[in-house]
Amino acid sequence: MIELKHIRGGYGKHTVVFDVSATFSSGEITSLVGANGCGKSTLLMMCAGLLSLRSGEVLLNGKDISKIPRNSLAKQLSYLGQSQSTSNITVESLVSHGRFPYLGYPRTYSDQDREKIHNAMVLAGVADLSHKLLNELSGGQQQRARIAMMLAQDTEVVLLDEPLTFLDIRHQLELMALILHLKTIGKTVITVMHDLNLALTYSDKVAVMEKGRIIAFDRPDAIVHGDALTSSLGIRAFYSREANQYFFMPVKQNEQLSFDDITF
Amino acid sequence: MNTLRIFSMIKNKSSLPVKLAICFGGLLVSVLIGICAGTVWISPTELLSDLLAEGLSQNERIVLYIRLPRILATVLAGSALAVSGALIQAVLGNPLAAPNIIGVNAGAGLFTVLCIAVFPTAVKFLPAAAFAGALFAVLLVYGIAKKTGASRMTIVLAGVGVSSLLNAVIDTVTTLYPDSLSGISSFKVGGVAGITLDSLFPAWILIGVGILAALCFGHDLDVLSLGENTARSLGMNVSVMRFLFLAIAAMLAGAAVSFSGLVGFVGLVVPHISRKIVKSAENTAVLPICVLIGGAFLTLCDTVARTLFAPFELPLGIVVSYIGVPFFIWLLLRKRGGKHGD
Repeated sequence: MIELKHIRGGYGKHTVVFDVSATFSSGEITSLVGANGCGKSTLLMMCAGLLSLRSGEVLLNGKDISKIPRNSLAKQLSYLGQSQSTSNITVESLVSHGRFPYLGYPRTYSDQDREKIHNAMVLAGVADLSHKLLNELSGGQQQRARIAMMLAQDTEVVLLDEPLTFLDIRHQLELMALILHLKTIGKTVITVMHDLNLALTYSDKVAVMEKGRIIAFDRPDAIVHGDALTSSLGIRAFYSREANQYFFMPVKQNEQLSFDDITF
Repeated sequence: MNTLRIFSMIKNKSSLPVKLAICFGGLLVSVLIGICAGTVWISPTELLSDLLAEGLSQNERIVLYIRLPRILATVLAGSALAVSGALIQAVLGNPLAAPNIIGVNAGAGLFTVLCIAVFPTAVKFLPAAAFAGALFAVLLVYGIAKKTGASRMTIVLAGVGVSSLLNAVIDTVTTLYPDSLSGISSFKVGGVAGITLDSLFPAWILIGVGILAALCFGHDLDVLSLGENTARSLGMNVSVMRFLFLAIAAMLAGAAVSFSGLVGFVGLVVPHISRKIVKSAENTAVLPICVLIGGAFLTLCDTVARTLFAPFELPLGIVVSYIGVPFFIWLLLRKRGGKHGD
C-alpha cells in the first residue's frame, strides 16, 4: 500500500504538485488522469522516490520511502518512465537488468533470475525478440521490452507512466490484460493514462488531477458521474457503459478557434 | 525451449569470445610488427636466433631498450584512453564525448605541465598530478552539465570550452617557464619517443587498476546507461556510480597523458569501433574490446610514426589522426545493417 501525506514538490523553483494526499490500496489498479502538465508524471516520480519532496511524506507499507535504502526499495517498487532513449542493447540484456536489485558482486545471474527473465519476456510478448537489438525494433516493441524489464524486477508495487505509448490498439489491450494479471497476483499498480476508455474500464480507482492537485479520487462509475474529469480536461463529454466497458466520448467544441490572427 | 532458440543463444554467447580472441590476435600482431619494424628491420627469425644465442646482440638491445618500452607505452596508453572514452561516453550519455574533446586530457596536461614547471624533480608524481587534473576537468564539465540541466550537445560544448580554456592555461605556463618545458610541443601533440620502462612507473599500475575496475563494473555501467531514473529505480546509487566511473576515466586518461602526452582521438574513435565490432552498446562486451583495439591501434600508429620517414619520426598524435579519421569516417559511411552500436 502507498500513502501520500500532504506531498508537495516540483522542479527547481517551479512547484508542480501541491499538498496531495491519497491512499493507493494493495492489489488495486489506480489510474492517474488529467490534462497535460497537471502533475501526473511528477506525482508518479514522487511516489517512486525519484523526486525529492518539498514537504509531506510517501509511505510504502507504512514506511517512509525516503528512509528505505534504494536497493531495498527497488525490490518492492518498480517504475517505468515515459519513453526514454535506450542504449542499443539486446532485448534479453535489457530485461536482465530488471534483476539488478537482486544481484550481488560479481554480477552473475542465478537460475531463479534466468527463469524470471524468461517469464517476463514471455508475459510481455518479447520472447521471440530476445536477441534483437532495441534499435532494430519498433517503438511498440521497445515499449514491451521495457515493460518486460520491469516485470523481471518482480516488485509488489508497479508504477507506470503512460505505458501505452507507441502501442497499437491490440498491444494496448494486451498490456491492459497484463496489468489485470498483475493485479490478480496481488500487485499494486499505479499508472498515468491518457486513454480514458481504458483507464475507466480497467482501473479499480481513478485519480483525476488538475493544476497539481487530485480533485477526485474514486471508483470509475463515481468518476464518470461527477464533473471532475471534464473539468480537468476542459471539455464536455458523453459516456456509456456496456459489458463492463466504459465509452467516454468527448463532444466536439462548439466555439470555433480563431486562427485568423496567425500567419505562417 | 525450441531448438532454434537454443541455437540462437549458443551463437550469441559464442560470438563475444571469438571476437575477443580475434582482437587479441590483432593486438599480438601489432606488437610483433612494432618489434620488427623500425629504422632497422629485425625479422622474427633473426630475433629468435639472437635470443637463443649467448650475450646481448645489437638487435636485442634495440628491441629491449627502444622498441619494447615504446610498445608497452602505446599498448597501455591506447587501452587506457579507449576505456576512458567508453566510460565517459556511457556516463554522459553522449557518443561525442571523449577525454580529449571534453577537456579531460587538457586537464591532465595542465596539471602535468604545472608539476614539471613548479616541481621539476618530482617526476614520479606526474601520473598523480595528471590524474588530479583529469578529475578536475571531468568534474568541472559534469558540474556545469548538472547545474544547467544541459542537453547532450551542451555537455560537449561545455567540454570544448573547458578544453580550450585549459589549453590556453597550458600555453600560458609554457610561456612563463620556457626552459623547464622545452619538450612541450611534443607533449601537446602526443608521443612516446625516448620513453623508458622506468618512466612508465607508476602509471602502468594506475592503468591496470583502472581497466580492471572498469571491467568489473561493466554491468553497472550498462544499467547506468539506461538513464538516471531507470538506474535509480533499479536500486542504483546513481551519483556514487557516476562519480566512480568518471574517477576511473580520469585516472586512466591522466595516467596515459602523464607519459604519452596529449594523444587525441583514440578515446573517441576506439569505443565506436568497438561497438561496431560487438554490434551493440553493451559495455560488458565493449570495454574488453576497447582494451585490445585501443592498444593495437596506438601501437600500429606509433610503428607507422617511426618507420614511414625513418630515420625521421612523425609525432604520434598526427599519425593517429591520419589513420584514425579516414577509418572512422569509412566505418560511419559503411553503416551496414542499420544503426548498430550508435
